[in-house]
Amino acid sequence: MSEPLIRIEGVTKRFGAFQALHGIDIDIGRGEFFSLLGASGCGKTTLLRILAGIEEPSTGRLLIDGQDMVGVPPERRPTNMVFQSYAIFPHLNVEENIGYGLKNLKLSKADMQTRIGNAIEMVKLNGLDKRNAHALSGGQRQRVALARALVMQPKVLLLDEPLSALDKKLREEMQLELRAMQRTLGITFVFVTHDQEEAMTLSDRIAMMSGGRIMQLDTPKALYENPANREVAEFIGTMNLFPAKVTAAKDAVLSLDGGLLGPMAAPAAKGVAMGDMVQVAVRPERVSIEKPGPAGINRIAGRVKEAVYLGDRINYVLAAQGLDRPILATSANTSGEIYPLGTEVMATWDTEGARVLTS
Amino acid sequence: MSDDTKTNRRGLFARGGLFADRARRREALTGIGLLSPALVVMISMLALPVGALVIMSFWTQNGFNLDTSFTLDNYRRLFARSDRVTEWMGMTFHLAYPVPAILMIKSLAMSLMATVAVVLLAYPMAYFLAFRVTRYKAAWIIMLTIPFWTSYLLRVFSWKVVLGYNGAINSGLMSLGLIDKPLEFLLYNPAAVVITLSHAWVSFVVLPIFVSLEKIDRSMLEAAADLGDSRSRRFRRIILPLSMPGTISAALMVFIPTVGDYVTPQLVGGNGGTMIGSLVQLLFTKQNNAPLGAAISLVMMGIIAVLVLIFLTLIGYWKMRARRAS
Repeated sequence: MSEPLIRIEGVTKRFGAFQALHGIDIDIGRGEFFSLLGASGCGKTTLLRILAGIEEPSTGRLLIDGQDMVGVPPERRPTNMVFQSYAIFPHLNVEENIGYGLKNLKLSKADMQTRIGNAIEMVKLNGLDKRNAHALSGGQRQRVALARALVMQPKVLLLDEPLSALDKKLREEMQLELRAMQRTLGITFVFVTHDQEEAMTLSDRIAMMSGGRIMQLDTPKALYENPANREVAEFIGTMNLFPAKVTAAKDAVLSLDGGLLGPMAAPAAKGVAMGDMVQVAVRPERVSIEKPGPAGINRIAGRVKEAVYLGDRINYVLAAQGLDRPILATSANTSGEIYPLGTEVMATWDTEGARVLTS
Repeated sequence: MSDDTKTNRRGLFARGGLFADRARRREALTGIGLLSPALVVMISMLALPVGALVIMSFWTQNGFNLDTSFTLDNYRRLFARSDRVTEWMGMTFHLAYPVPAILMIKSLAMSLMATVAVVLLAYPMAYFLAFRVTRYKAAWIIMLTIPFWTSYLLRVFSWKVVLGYNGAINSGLMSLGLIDKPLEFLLYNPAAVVITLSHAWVSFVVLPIFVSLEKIDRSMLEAAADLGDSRSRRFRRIILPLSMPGTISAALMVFIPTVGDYVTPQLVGGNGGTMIGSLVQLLFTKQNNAPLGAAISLVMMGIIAVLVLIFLTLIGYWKMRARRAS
């Protein structure tokens, strides 16, 4: 990455006795769509508010475009924010809301009109210029909030769960629009969400947060394919976890003993040594269901507890001996055949599809 | 929306269904039942006396007897023109009986001053409470109500003690050697009435203004800051307009009752500080002309109502309320 636009260095935040952020380090590049992902209370919104200047970090440094931002109030930062509640000013109409910040820029009247007009165009609110804020629908408010921030032409646009209040269809529509907008404008977006699917759809990179720390910072693909730990693995998508003990490491392949689950194999992972207790992680779509057969490596016998037919695929829930949790498997529906409930089957997977997680 | 749900109901509960009417009647009864205590009080304490006042204003007082035949004489007397010119504060009145008109204008002016003073005093207090106090908010609010723990009369009297001939201000200034003899202009004049009224009403107004400030979503202020507003611009562009409906209602709560006040002028106003309420009181008691007093009261009510409506229309109050309601 060339010179990053945003550099977060060792940022911590403490609210009284509560430590909201522990030493966060992130570099965000120019024009990047960056997401902070995590469950509520993980510190993602606090970090976003620190970027906006609404909160100040307790310790650490924050640079935007090379400028130290600590102590700079929000009104003098090159950032603008789309609030989760939208924070539309109820006493102003659409045009006045969108032009709110422009009034602080001392633009000519004509300039201001053009910029407001373009923003209204961009968020597709044409014809609603004079509509009062209280007469807008949720989706329209969201667009006003977006236009109001974008019209300021910030270096960084901060978005705090902007789509969470919209219904599913509108949300998916807005996701596509946001992505397209970000590409055409080239503005850096920092997007906070608790919805892993939304983060995957939109982001160039995702920082998965938990308990005020970054669990993993990676591309959506890397987060899904190579989760750093159990928490990431389970937050992003679903994951089967099989406890096992490492018995041998040879040629970049680990041999493991799953006890009742039988022998397993997985690609070698850093920091895993002989005798370690680990979790073998396998995504449901990597697990195939076969007719019962002999035991072997990466083969677990189970019984079909649930089979959910989804048309293009079938989701199986299997009960296996020696495992508290069911095994989840997703099969592409290629033959139109379903294993009925209660059938004894074999769950198998390729060694390359498995990951070893130590924590 | 409620209309939709009603139409969506099926069967016996549908519009025109067997139970629909009964259910609706029951709902209406519950509503009336809940309202009835307030309704009883309103009717017996407000509507009936005002009705009595209206009827009485069409009567005539003859010495000790009331002539109950209908007449508009009382009202005619208030508006009767005359060639004799009365002058007051640079204004001329071509009225045969100018005292009520003069006192009305004077009362309106004094109430207006008191109202402005009250809002100017109360707004910063409410602002402080809403935006600066983060802990023990309830304790602060209870402290605000402390003035109510004593009677209104005591509070008015205490101003007599402060402003009086041998009062706190005079004795203080004298002991400092700043004046030789007590200042006489402190008490028994319109200014003393305005000061006393302002103090008496401040705590009434802090709470409604506080509520309207407290209702403002803090993310509005964060958004305004994010869009480049300094603290003072945030106040002007967000806090002030959004708290305006509540502040105006609070101000009217002071203005409307103080115009007709007669206790305060009597206690601290002296001869110069009399207001329209003092005249009405005088007519009902010493001058023994209740019908004229009733007519003056009703005209006063009418004038205040019209003034308030004109004021609210001018500032677009209803539009403000509609927007705030979102």
